[in-house]
Amino acid sequence: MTGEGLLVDGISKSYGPTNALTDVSLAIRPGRVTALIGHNGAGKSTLLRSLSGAEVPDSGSIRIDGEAQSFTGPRDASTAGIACVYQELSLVDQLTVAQNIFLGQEQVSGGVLSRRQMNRRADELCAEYGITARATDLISSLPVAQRQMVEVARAINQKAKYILLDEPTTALEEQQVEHLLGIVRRLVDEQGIGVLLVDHKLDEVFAVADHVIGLSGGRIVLDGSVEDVDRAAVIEAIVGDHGSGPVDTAAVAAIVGDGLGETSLESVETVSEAARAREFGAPVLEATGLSGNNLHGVDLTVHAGEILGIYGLVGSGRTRFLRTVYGAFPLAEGSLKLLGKPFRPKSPAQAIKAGVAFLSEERKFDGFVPQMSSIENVVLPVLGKYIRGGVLRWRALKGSADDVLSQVSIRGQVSAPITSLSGGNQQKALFARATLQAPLLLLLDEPTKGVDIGAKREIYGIIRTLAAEKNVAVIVVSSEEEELTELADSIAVFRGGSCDGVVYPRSSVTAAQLRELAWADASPASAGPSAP
Amino acid sequence: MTDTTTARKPPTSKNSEVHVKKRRLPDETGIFIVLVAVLLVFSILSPNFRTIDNGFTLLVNGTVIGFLALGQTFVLLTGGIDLSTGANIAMSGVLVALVMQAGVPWPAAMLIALIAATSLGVLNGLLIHYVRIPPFIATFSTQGVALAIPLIITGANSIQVRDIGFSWIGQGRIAGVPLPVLLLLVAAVIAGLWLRMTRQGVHVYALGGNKNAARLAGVNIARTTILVYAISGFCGGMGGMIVTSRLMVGFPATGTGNELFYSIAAAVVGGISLFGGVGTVLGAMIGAVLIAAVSNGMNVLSVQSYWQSLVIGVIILVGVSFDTLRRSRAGRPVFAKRPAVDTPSLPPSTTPSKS
Repeated sequence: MTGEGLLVDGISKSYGPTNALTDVSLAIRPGRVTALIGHNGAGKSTLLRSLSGAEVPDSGSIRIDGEAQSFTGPRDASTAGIACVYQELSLVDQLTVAQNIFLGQEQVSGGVLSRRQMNRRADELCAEYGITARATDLISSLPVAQRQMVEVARAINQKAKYILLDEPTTALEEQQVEHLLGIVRRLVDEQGIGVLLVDHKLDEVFAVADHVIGLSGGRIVLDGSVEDVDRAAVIEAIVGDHGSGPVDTAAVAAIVGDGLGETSLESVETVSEAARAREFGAPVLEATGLSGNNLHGVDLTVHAGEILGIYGLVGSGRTRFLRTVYGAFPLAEGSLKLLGKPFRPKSPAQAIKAGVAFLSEERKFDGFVPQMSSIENVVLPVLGKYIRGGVLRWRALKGSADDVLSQVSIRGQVSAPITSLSGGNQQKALFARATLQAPLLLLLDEPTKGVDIGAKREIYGIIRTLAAEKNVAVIVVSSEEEELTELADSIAVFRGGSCDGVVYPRSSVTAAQLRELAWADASPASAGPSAP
Repeated sequence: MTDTTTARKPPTSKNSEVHVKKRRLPDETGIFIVLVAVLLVFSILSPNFRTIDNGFTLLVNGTVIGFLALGQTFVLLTGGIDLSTGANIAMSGVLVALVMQAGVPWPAAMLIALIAATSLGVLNGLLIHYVRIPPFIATFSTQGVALAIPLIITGANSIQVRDIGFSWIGQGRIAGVPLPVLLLLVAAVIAGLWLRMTRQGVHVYALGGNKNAARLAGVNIARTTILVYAISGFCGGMGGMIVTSRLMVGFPATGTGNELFYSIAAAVVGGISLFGGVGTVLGAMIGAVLIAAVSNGMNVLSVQSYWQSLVIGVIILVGVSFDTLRRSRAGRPVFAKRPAVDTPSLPPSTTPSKS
């Protein structure tokens, strides 16, 4: 392989016995968007880190515009013109936009920072790339989408020729995604920058990329121009027979997304409270006019054995609602009833006692204790039930933990720190924890975020079992429409911090309709259909 | 604790795909070997060091550091730090002497002083949890207060203790073993078991490991935080009792020296992570004996006392470096050279199969 571009030739990388990358060759051409897709654990992150100098491959070579490179650290890569924007952004929250853009490359005249000059340049960059913030705004005051753009602006300012974007759209809402992809396209077309875009969503890939590379099990399984490959081929390649077992159509649908076809909200059916009460058990949780903490009136009911999906845009109050029910946020106004009795949890501990379990969206941030083993993490909320004479019955605790952990078929060592498990298995361990709590009500915030397709299917199975066999009332918050239409019995939509309590049966609502509902006017009067 | 309780257990049949599992040595093995080596070296260098009498002297001198380290262990496990424990020695030590001087019998005087010492810890906990002052600042400030109180009350004069009964605490022996050593032993065993065998004990580790996750898992953060500082305060008070009882003088300038420094050193070289969530009481106690041995050995060898701080400073640095490197190996970079890794880069023996 020769010629212009960032050329990767036969790189391999292994961690102990695990081969993360095996003989990977690819090219990132200037003026083109190259999309990299593959499920979790396929080696995308390792590849990205190898390209950005954060990781040194065991073998193989990297050439930039004909020149061989050997990176010993991220600094080498950035000197060579490669910038990488990770999901976890590397901005300093306490500094301004301009200070971040110039971080490490500050302009100095006579030993003094040329603050005004840097601010002017930063403002130019902001204007150019649709960042509404000013150069002197603190990063901590910006929304996530804007921060991401600041990082891209920094890369451009540092004259990066190749920009690697690691799943830049996951945290964004639809409009922001369009905006971001538009900018990516402009960078490539106008400035001739070569972009490597790691993305899970095929819609986005086909909208913006010129070239698609599929990675599976650390090997390249697809490498072609977007004109030459279609969705089916892509899915075939990345899901293909590299995994085990049959391809899960729901999981595939979650990746593919069904195109935004013709939709009409008039055809959306709703299901009445009475009908749900007949189909499922008694109401477990009833929320009426829940407000405060950016919630502006949430009415919602969930029944025993029912899986209620909550759809809404990021920031629509879904997570706030779950955390308020769990006692992690104070309940300002409105009322909650649990099994018909008033419920006002002041702390998660109280909610747990009342029979509520919760799985956080950010398991690393507030899901598990990293130094503890999976077993210890699983038993943490239920320690109080295993005390005799003030002393913990560890044997019984471990027995119970082993039981629930094997129910969710954990792969990995359960007595090692939980961080030694893969993301999907960590999440399954947290489901084991919820199972052990034997809850009345299970609150799930993006339960399949960051897990691979196989684990996703298993997690759906676990959720269904809990609802069907243990009669648990489940509320699932998800940003993936397909996840809800696949998993939930009924779906409610949050808009701008409120929910009108209208519930759509999954059989009648499509992904496209859900999206439209989420964008609909927030006032109940114009939300369209009312319960029949 | 996480390691010692679970590592001994064979992997469960259903969950393990890794059948060959190396029997892991307890985490305290390393520091124990260091202790043995230090003892050997001093014994070879000095015949005076290896006498039983000196052994007891070493241990008795070590008990004050040991008690402080024990309290510090609880605080460090939650990810905090208690800089006020050294000052607590002076405060409680003078207080107990003053109360006895007022005619109160020694057991009651001790109770009062220990309650005061514990209250100082509770105050630390309250400031840290409710006022949200960082532990370093909160205990730094209360240290100043606790140091000043005895000086102000006594006008920097020492207070004689006349109640002979009180000398038993610091100078008594049971079956030939000095009482302070026994007291520390009992306290350490109770503390170790408590951390491992009670719900509240596990919550201490959970709080230090991940405060946010602990809260969502139902851990009462306020209670746990206040409790660990109260325990540290109580342990500081025990240190004060022993010091005053051994001297039979309430000395307002004690605790201003190396006690605090040594106690943190003991906990850290004993494997208590300064970042929280990792470590055992056993480790901290071995660390305390090690620090006491170094200090005692240098005395016996008549090394100028100025050297002691230097040596112990180096010991702290080595201990913290190990801790920091261990953390970065466990996939949580401290020197932030690379972004968080999704592939676990643990030692091969614990690497699970990737799914």
